[in-house]
Amino acid sequence: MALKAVHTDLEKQTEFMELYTPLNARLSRFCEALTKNREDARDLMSDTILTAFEHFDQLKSKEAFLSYLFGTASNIFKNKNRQKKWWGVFEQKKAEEVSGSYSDAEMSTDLSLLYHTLSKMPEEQKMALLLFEVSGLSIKEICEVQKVGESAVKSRISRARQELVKLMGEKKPKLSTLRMVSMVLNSFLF
Amino acid sequence: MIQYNTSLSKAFEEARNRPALMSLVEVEDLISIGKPSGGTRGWKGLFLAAAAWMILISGMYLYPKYIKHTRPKSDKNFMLPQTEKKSSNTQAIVKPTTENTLNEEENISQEPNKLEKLGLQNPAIAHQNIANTRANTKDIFDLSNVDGVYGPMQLPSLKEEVALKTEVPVLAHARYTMKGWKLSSTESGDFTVGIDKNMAHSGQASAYIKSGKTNFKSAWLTQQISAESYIGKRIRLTAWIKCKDPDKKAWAGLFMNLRGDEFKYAGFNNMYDKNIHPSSAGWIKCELVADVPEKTREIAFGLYKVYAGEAWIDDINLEVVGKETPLYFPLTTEAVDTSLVMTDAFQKALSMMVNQPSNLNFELLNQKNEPLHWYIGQESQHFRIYGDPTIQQNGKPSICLQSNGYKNDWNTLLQVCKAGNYLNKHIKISAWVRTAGVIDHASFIFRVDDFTAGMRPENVKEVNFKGNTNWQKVELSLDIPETATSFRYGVLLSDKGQIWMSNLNVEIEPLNHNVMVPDYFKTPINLGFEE
Repeated sequence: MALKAVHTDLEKQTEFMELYTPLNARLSRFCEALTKNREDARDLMSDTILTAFEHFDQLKSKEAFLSYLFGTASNIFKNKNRQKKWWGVFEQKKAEEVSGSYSDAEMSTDLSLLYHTLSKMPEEQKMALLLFEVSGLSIKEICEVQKVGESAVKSRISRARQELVKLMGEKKPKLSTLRMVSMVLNSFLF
Repeated sequence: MIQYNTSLSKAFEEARNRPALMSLVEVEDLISIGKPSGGTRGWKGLFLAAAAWMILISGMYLYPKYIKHTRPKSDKNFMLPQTEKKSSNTQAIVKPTTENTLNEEENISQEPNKLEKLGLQNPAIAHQNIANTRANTKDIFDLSNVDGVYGPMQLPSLKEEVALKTEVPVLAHARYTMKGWKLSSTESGDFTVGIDKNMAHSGQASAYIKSGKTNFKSAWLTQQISAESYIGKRIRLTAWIKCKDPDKKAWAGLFMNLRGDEFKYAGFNNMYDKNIHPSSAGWIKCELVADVPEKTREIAFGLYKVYAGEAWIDDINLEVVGKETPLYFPLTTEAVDTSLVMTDAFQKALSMMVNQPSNLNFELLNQKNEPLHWYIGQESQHFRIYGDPTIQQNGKPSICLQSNGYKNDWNTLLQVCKAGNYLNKHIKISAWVRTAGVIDHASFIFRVDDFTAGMRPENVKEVNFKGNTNWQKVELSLDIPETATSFRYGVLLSDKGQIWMSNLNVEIEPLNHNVMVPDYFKTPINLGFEE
């Protein structure tokens, strides 16, 4: 039976927070790794929380909350990402963040490069790897988020690792294009 | 099982330890928005609130007069009589007031009684507007806790104002004094550039970039030339670079950027992977080899410097080489090879341009009280722009660029207009400008941009101000050559102070002669920094 029947508004909020609390940091890291910058990550996190809360009544069991939450984040990200191609429609906000994304003083070059390299990998592989390495989900939990079998998840993670090592090792993407672009743009401005 | 190398393991470790983006309290607040309130349930309430906001915002855009300044009907008591004075050495005409004595009127007051003294009507409303503006930006400008910052903005006292008064000079800006070169940086005040006559690889001098910043801030000394003579050829850029840095992270490198039409770029490299570190002893020869794609319009090259320390460059050479010379021009991770790519950042740059001069009277402001179609050169916590209802020119609103004086930082408030409709025309721009407490200098600028010469002094006109000046009319004129891509005008402020501009006017006249692009910008110049 869905949780809906027993929920008042306050109960819904309390129960949601109870399930959500242990996952806050893990969701935050997942969102940040997906979007590569804190501003977008905050947006993704807020959208995820609001969407998850809105449909919380339809959740069939508490055990499914983790996969429900991360699945929601993945879907929102994928939908947003489809609309934002690198050569896509100009977005003022995104453009303004170009210079900020990779000059985050709090983020090491290694991490910037990791995020940047991950952004070029196939989406399902990247998500499986992030859920496993960054958010600390088990293989079984990732199966539920991605709605695929165990072997598929293992294969995705393995391929993602191979690809990552290859990209980071061979191409040596030391300087992100974004940082370069911000430099050239700055030169244009005056 | 794939093994991660050290830097990958370190990166994942860091990713796992990133602080949470939202606290649990924030999450709780977020989901509480949809809770019942005043008989309206959950998301319905949120939807109604959003709808109300949308109606309000649409109304403000449809009827911008409701968001423009509240200003007094007349400030004629405030204006002083005008006389004209023509400068002999440039086309700039400066029309100062008869007396630059501003006495107590000049102090930019925030108090109602002082506003009354200035003869401004409706002081209570004007005072409230200023108070609101100040309140909205209080956090930005309260810099008392930031190292090396002078603290919150304080205008000098009347006595100091008198001491600061100077003649209005008309000068070429210091940034253009090194022939053929310009300095750009992520934060202008953090870097200095110049000629070092005590350090040279050969000849008498070299150029340097110096910085005290230890975080990721970068600067580049650039020369831009036309790509015309190099299209389809393989080119080799060489230079000697030396680096002296206290910081391990610091490095310098030779860079080259091939730029196409409409700000698309064809390639870029700054030697990140072969950069010059402080540990590199003495002068190091650097080299980049690239093919110049067909559609390239401009080649920019020079010295790139990151973090603290000092780097020198000398004996640069750009030459055409045979195809047997191995390429060394890795185009970053998104190798774009010879195709020209339009990036988000350039799209932003293009989107900032107007097709014709717009909002010249600053009557259209956004909700942050900033003028539409104008933009600030670089986002900085040390500068702000705002519509100022208390400072008017002949009843017209003004816009203010203000700085708290962070080191030698400077910034601009400009409008960039596409040149397309104005090619082969002579453009005269006039504006009214006034300043307060300008420690270094402030300017009104008019500049024409083209691909063949991004920064040649002939393309720039400016009138400089210092200290406190009352409203002065400035007029600057330039020819728009066929090679122009855009032209820009507005104010520049260096160091501490405030500059207002108001009541701009653009006159267009036909051009009855051809504008010559100097030959020297077709090939590199001053590569040994001897000029």
